[in-house]
Amino acid sequence: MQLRSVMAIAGVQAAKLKRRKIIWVVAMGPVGLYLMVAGPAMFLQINFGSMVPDGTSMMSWSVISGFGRILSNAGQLLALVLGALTVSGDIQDGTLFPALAKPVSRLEVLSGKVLGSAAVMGVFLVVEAVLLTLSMTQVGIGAQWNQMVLFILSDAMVFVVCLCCGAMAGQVFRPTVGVALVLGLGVVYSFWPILIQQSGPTWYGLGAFLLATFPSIEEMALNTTGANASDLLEPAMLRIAYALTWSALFAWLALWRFESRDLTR
Amino acid sequence: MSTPALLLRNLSKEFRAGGQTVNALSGLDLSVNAGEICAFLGPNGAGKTTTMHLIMDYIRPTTGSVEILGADWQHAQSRSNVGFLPELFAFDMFLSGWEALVYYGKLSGVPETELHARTEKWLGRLGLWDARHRRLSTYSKGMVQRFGLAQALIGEPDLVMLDEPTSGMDPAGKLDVISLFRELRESGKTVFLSTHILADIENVADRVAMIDRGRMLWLGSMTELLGRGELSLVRFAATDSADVKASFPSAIFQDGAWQLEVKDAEMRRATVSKIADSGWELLALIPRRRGLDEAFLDVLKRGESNAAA
Repeated sequence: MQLRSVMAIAGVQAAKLKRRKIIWVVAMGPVGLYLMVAGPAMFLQINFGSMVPDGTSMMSWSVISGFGRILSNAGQLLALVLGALTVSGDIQDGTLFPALAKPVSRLEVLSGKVLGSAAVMGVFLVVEAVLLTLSMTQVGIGAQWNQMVLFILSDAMVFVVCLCCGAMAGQVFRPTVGVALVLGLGVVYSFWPILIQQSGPTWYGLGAFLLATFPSIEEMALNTTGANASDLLEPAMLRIAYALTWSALFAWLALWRFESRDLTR
Repeated sequence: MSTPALLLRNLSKEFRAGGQTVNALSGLDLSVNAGEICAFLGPNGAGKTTTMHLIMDYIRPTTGSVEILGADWQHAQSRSNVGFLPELFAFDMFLSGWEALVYYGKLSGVPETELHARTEKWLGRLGLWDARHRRLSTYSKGMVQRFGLAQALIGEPDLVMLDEPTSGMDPAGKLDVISLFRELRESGKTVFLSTHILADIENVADRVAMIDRGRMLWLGSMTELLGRGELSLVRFAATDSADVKASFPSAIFQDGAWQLEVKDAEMRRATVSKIADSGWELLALIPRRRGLDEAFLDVLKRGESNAAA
C-alpha cells in the first residue's frame, strides 16, 4: 500500500467533509438540543451556586460532562453518516473516477477516505475528551488518568466501528438508502439500552454483544450521578477489543463489496 | 514486434437492465500501437465509454482481458503509465487548480522533487496558469476540461486515454488541444481518444476504430477509411439535358457543365464509357476525398446492412 497516496486522499477527503453542511447539521443538531434543555439549568445552578458552593460545582460539571456525552452520541451518528457517504457519495458525484484512473488500488482509496473521515471525527473526540476529563476531575469521582485515556480510546474505537459500518452500508445500498439505514440503526441503538433494561437481566445474545461494544446506560449515568468510575471504566478494554472486531468485520465487508462491484453502468 | 500500448482481447460486457440482459460489448478485439493516435468512434450507445471504463477497471468484463503496455489491467500499477480523462467526471471543486493538480500528481506517483515543476508546466501548457489559485468551481466548462487534460498528463504517461476531450471547448481551445495531441505523438506517446466531433480528429488520427452495438465495424488507417470507395467527380458538356437526365438522373448542371459524383472505379468506368458513347465531351475527372463524416456514416450503413443480412 502506498502511504503517500492514502494520505493525499485522506487530506482531500477531510477538507471535503468540512464543507458538507449535512455533517454539521447531524453533528450539531443533538448538541444544540441538549444545550437548549440543559443550558438554562446550568446557568441557574451557577447563580444558585454562590449560595451553595459544593452543590454548584457538582451540578455544573455534571451538565458539562453530559454535553460531552451528547457530543459523543452525535459523533457516532455522524460517523455512521460519513461512513455511508464515503466512496459511495464520491461515485455518485463523479469525483472518484479521476482518482481511480491513477495507479491507486481500491483498498488505498477506501483507506484514504475512511482515514479522512476519521480525521474529522477526531475533532469531536478531542472536544469530548477535554469535556469528560475536566468534568471527571472536577466532580472528583476518583477516575484515574489511565482509565480515562482508556475510556476515551474506547469511544474513539466506537467512532471507527460506526464509520466502517456506514461504509459497508454505503457500498451495499445507494448512498441515500445507506444513510437512511444507518441513521435508523443509530436511533434504534440509542433506545437499545432502555429496551434491554426492560427485558430483564437474563437477556443476552446479540444485544449483550452490542452493549459490550457500545457505551451502556450506566456510562451515561456516570456523567450525571458521579458513580464510582472504576466500576464503569473497567470494561473499556473489552469494548476496545469488541470494537476492533466489529471494525475489522465491517471494513472487510465494505472492501469486499467495493472491490467486486461495477462502479459505473 | 513492439508491445502494443493497449491490447483488448475478446472483451464483452453484459448488463442487467429492466430485467433484460443488454450486451454493451460483444467480443471486442483491438490493438493500439505504441506512438500512434488512435481515434475510437461510434454513435451514441455504441459501447465506447463502456470500453474505456473496462480498460480503467471501473467495471469488470463478462469475458476477455486487457493489457496496458504489456501489464494486466486489473493491477493498479498497470495505470502508473496511463493518463485518463473520463467523459463524465467531476473534481473536488473547492480545491484551487494548483492544489488539485498537486493532488493528482501525488496519486500519479510524481516524485515530490518534481511535483511543483510538473504542476507549473502543465498548468502553463493548458493555459490555466493565471487561474491556478482560483477554485475549480470558478472555472468555465472549457477550463475544467483543460484541467481534466492537465490531470491526465501530470504523470507524463506513455498512454493517454481521453473520452470526449474537446467537449465544451471553444474553437481556440480545441485547436490547442489538437496541437497537443500532435506534440504527444511527436514525443513518442500513444493517444487513444473517443469523440463525437469527427472534424477534431480528421487531420490528427493515424488510425480509426469504429464500433457500433458493442461490435467492431472498422479498424484501419485514416487514409484507408477516407479513401474507401474512390469517390470522384465527373464533369462533362452535353447539349441535350433530357438525354443527360435520362442517362444520369443524379447529374446536376453547375458552372456551365454537367456534374456527377461516382462512388467507385467500376461506376467511374461505366460513366466515362457512356459519356463517350453519347458523343458528349468529358471535361474533367476529379478524384475526391471523402469527409470523415461521410466515411463514418458509410461504415455505419454497411455495418447495419451486414447485421440485417
